[in-house]
Amino acid sequence: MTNLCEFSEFLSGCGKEDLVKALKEAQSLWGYIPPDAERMIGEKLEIPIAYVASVKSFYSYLYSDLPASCIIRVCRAVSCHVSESKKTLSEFEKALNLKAGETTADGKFRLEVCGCLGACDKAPAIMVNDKLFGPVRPEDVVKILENLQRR
Amino acid sequence: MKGLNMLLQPDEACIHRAIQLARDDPKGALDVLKASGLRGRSGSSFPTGIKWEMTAQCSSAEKYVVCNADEGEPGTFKDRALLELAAENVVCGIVVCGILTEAVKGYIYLREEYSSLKAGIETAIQKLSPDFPIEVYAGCGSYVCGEETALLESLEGRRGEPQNKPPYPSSAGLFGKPTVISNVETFANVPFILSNGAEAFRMNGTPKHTGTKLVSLSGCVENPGVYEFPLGTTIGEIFETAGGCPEGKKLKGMQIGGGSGAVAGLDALSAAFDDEGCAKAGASTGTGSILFFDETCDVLDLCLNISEFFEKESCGKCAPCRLGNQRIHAILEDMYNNGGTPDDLEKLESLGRFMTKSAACGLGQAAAMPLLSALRSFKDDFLKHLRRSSLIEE
Amino acid sequence: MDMVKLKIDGQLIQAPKGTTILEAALSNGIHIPSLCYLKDISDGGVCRICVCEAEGSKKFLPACTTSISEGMCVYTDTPAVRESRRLNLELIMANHNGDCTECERGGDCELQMLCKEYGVNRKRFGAYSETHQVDQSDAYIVRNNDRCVQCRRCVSVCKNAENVGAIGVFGRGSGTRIGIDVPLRETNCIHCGMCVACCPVGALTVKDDTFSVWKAIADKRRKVAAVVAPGVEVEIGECFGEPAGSNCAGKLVSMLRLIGFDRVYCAGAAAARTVSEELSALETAKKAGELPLIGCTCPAALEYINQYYPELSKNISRGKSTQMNACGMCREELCGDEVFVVSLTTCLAEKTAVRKNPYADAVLTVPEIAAMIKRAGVSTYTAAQVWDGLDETEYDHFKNEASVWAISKTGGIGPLLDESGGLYVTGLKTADAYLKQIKEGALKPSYLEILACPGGCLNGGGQSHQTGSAHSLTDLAESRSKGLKNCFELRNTEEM
Repeated sequence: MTNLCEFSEFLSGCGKEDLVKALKEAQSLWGYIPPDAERMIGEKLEIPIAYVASVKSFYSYLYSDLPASCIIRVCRAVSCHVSESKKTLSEFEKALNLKAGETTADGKFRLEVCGCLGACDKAPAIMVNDKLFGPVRPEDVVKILENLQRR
Repeated sequence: MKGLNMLLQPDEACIHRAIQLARDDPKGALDVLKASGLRGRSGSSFPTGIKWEMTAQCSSAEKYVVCNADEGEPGTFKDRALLELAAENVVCGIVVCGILTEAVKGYIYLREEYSSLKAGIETAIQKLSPDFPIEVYAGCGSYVCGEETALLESLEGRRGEPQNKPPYPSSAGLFGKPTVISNVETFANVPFILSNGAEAFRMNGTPKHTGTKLVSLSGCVENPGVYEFPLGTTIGEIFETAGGCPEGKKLKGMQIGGGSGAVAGLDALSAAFDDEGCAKAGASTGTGSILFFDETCDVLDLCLNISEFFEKESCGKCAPCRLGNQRIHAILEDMYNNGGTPDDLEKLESLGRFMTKSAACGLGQAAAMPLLSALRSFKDDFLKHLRRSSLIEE
Repeated sequence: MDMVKLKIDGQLIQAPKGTTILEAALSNGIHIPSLCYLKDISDGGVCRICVCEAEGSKKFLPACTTSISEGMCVYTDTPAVRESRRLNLELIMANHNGDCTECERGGDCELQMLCKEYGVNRKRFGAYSETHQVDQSDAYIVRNNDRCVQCRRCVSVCKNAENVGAIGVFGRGSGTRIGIDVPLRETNCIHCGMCVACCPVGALTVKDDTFSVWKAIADKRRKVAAVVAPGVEVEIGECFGEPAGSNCAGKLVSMLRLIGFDRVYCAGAAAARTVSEELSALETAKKAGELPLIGCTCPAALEYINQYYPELSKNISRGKSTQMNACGMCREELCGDEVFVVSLTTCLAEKTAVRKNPYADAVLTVPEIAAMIKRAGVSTYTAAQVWDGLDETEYDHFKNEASVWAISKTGGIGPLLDESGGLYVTGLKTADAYLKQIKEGALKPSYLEILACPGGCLNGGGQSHQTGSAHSLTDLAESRSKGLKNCFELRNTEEM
């Protein structure tokens, strides 16, 4: 894997304090953190494997498996909640035919529930990859998905 | 632009004056900062000048400045507005702090959800800070990293778990070195204060709580958004400025200070929005946000949502927060779905007290605040669910 | 030393500056309960069982992490504090499977003790549904997270005392769990066993080897011999209510004979043989210029060296440890019979060593030995009385044994070599610093003996369980070694 060489080079400039950075770099190379990369981080940074995995498991934006090309995060924090984000969420679940936390069979969409997106003035807000949308009412969901399908 | 407008619009001349003053007379600049009465905008309200001075006085060759831009508190989005519209104000504050404390490096810990703002911030850094290196560090998604010691842990590449204090970051922070860690908004106040003087800053606010405050308004309000008000403005005035109640709705109450803030009834509208005023209403300013909700809102459901958030977002280290949030969530869920059992209210009260008194960090101690205050101000919403249960005899 | 005056429960107390409330209380006879505190090893502040009230503080203060200050007034046992502790325990029990009757630690469990003390209602917050998070991947250590209280003692000791870090904390929020995501077999675990020794409950246990011993005893054709490591003599009593450091060799020997062991030997009898073997190996190594010679007493330390300092592996002595030599002498002695040799130690790593080199047929740790004694037709309720009433008997002797039985304070052989250039270290965290220097050539000892557990074999991974406040890098080993030293001197004078 050419990526592994590239990654190994990146790690040679890293110290123990760069563990999170290294995990993010792996994710930007592969889209997730493959076990090989995790082991390599442990070896190069001289951090026990249990600690690498432990840090990885703490942060919600670090993935152990390949996420979808399109991650839809529906904010379920309190401001969006009073703006009925629950309904928006269930509309997404219905339209994609899955439950929050799951990925569509074609690997295109993954639906996630998230904490506050900091867009409470646009409640209910959603984030698609790193782009914000809001307010997203249940009736907007199908249209949004159509637009995303086209991309 | 809404309300006052000192923080959200960068004034280039003012920014350069501030940096120049700090360079020419660091001690004088620190005195101005202390005289201004500026207090930390993270919710702790610690006097900023004194905090920075503590680090300035540490004799270490290696010191750091950290800007806490991990704005994860539900209902709060003023730091996003600041970094979007006035990154230069924030960067100016960091540069000044770097000069005053003789720091070697600055960090902006930016939450992952705001990563789209990174480019804009970096432009501001290039422009204003040619000598003092400032790194924009993107987080990876964790609410607890907003707590200062947890944030520093995360910056050092570990799990973002709060640490025992003391030692405080001002003497032993990032990599064990003296570190100033302040909120985005705190830094953004610096250019105005240094270039216009302490007196000009004190024109706004109350004698104890000087200056203006950014307020994030959301929920049942005509024009939600970020507003700037002199500290001490009443919540009612704030509400009216934002257009008041949308047509056809009736205000029921509000949550003050973020997702871990107190839930209060309409009597809180008369409270002044500063530490003392909020304390009288049984609340605190917290991260400076107010969520309004209308008559259709079931406060038990609101608390259920909040408890679900904290159950997930607790760092999991100390028992009261990890286990307390878990049980509060379970009990509220049972009350919501099945009407609960008669001793649920008593259990909730004691769980809340337990967390407030015994949890390790500020976030864990505050996590039960919404529930405890809601049990006081909206008890009927809880009893309503209990009555559904056949176990309660009318 | 700067002294600080404060009041704890109304009692005026003086303690050195920097002392925590917990330590100050403890040294003045005031007991504050805790689950996560591990003296000198854990950062604490996790379980919040030790919270106290203090005048002027709205919040409760964790006694284990709060430093005392001048004029402080602390209350360790008010109704509010008791309520906080009780609720805390109830919440822990709501996440605990409560299988105390089948748990290896039932009756010897810090959580169980606290629950009794605080009158905990186990079911108040609903019945626990098991997660079945059990890690059986390792051949020696089992983790059962349905019993784990997440005190993180195992995490701390593995990282802070042993410098290994095989146990991680995973996830967050109510989904936080300890050590299960990376199965133990896949980690860099060296099987020192300190995690098992420090676990306050039965979340970490040793895979039970007593069954094979019972079977051998029942087999009348076999001669079953016990080889007792000296540390066992001073630890076994702790399992029957004796204070740490009481030498119970006489009772132990009687009990082992009652159970059905045909011979009971003391491993100390083989020390002289090990010493002479090591000295001649050292002579050879010196001539060949291959120094340091690394002593092979501790299998966990050797595993650590092989993992992290492979370039030093070739320096490891090919000789035998005292325990190995004793087992070997035992086989020589009973040759001709069908023998089953049981090595009784304070060490968990011995179990890994015999698998590589089967010098013994089974290795038992102190808790396993205690369990055998309790199971030997003696009901648990009266075990203590039976123990009290035991007569003391003598060890068996090897025919050719040396007249002096030798034991070093830490449990190693190194100090007995009388080698001027020798370096003897306990605890891998400390040892690692030396190993680095040796690797870099900055330090050149002639003989190096590392014992993995802090304080040595007397604070080993197979020791009897002690509460967190008793554990420390050296204290526990120190008080146990007192018992050891006395018996060593006594035996010396008797036999001379």
